[in-house]
Amino acid sequence: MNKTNILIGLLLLTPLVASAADTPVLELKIKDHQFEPAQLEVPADTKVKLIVHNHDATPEEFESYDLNREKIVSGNGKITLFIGPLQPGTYKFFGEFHEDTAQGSIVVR
Amino acid sequence: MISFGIVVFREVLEISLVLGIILAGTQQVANRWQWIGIGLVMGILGSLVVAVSTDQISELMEGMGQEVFNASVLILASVLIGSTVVWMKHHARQISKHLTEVGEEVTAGARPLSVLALVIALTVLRDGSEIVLLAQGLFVTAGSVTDMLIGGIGGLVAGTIVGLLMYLGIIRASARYIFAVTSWLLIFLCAGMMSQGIALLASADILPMFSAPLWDSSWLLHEGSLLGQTLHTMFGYSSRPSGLQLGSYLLTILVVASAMYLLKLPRFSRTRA
Repeated sequence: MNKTNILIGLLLLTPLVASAADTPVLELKIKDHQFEPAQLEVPADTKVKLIVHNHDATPEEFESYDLNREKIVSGNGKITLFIGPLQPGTYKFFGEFHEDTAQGSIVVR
Repeated sequence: MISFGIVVFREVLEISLVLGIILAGTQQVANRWQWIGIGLVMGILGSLVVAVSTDQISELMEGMGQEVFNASVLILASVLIGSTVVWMKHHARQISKHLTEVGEEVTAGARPLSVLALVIALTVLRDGSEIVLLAQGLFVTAGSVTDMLIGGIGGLVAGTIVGLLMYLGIIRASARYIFAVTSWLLIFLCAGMMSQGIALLASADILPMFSAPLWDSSWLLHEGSLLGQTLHTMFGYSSRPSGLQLGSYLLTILVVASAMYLLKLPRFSRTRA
């Protein structure tokens, strides 16, 4: 363990201290097997809390290969996800159970 | 109901690929079919329970229950598979077919059999619960039951065939080196499950470090493609792996492989369970 390693370790820990209070919260709705809004904007290099509300009676699976996420939202239920910190770019997500209509993306700026 | 069939196919494919590797890898184990059956039944019942309890599971751990539950299933399955590979290497002679008639040897085989059932149950449970939820959703929207059955059975059959072909392929192609080939396939499976479990814990913010992806190979091989999904299931392929994912993958391989080869040393192989 040299000094550089310890320093890097401490730098990695700083987001942990700051994270709890100031994590921005974004909300997303599923209705008629579609995401609303279909596009979300997120600041770069920021961890974000995403809450997905399902207004349909049927379950859905929020899935994203770009974000490496996969989570079931039961009918009329909600889920919470943590996303990021992300590099700028577009990250697609979809509802696996209704992939033809349930499409959306997160744009990181 | 083609889209339903496709989702069923994807979930069944994952189950059947894992089962194909596990079954090919445990060929030498006597009396295994009965335990495989027990594992399948437990897995199907488990899928129903998990599907019905989705809300309750979701709400655990401040909304991170699903991640923690799935990560636990994956990590437990990974540990069981890893320890079975090592165990089989250690007991290769005792569990080989021509010795199984001796009563003592059958007892020696009891350990991987119950573990085998549990691994199969865990495998079926994880993806099976998604199929149950999807089917339940289709019932709610009062879609045609016939369409659903056709789509579901089509997906089930197609997914099973791919797994079966792989099982037969492994056995035929590697007859001479069957033990080495299946051991390594099991080790990759074990490492892939461990890294997926660790990634889930990271996504639940329980393991927050090293979460940035190391590279992005989705342009080359997308995880959503058939090949991408197959490699994801068999070798833990991820198009955007985090350092934590890659690290846990490599570490698992290192730990299981070294345990396997260390146990080959004469002073270890003489000890009997």
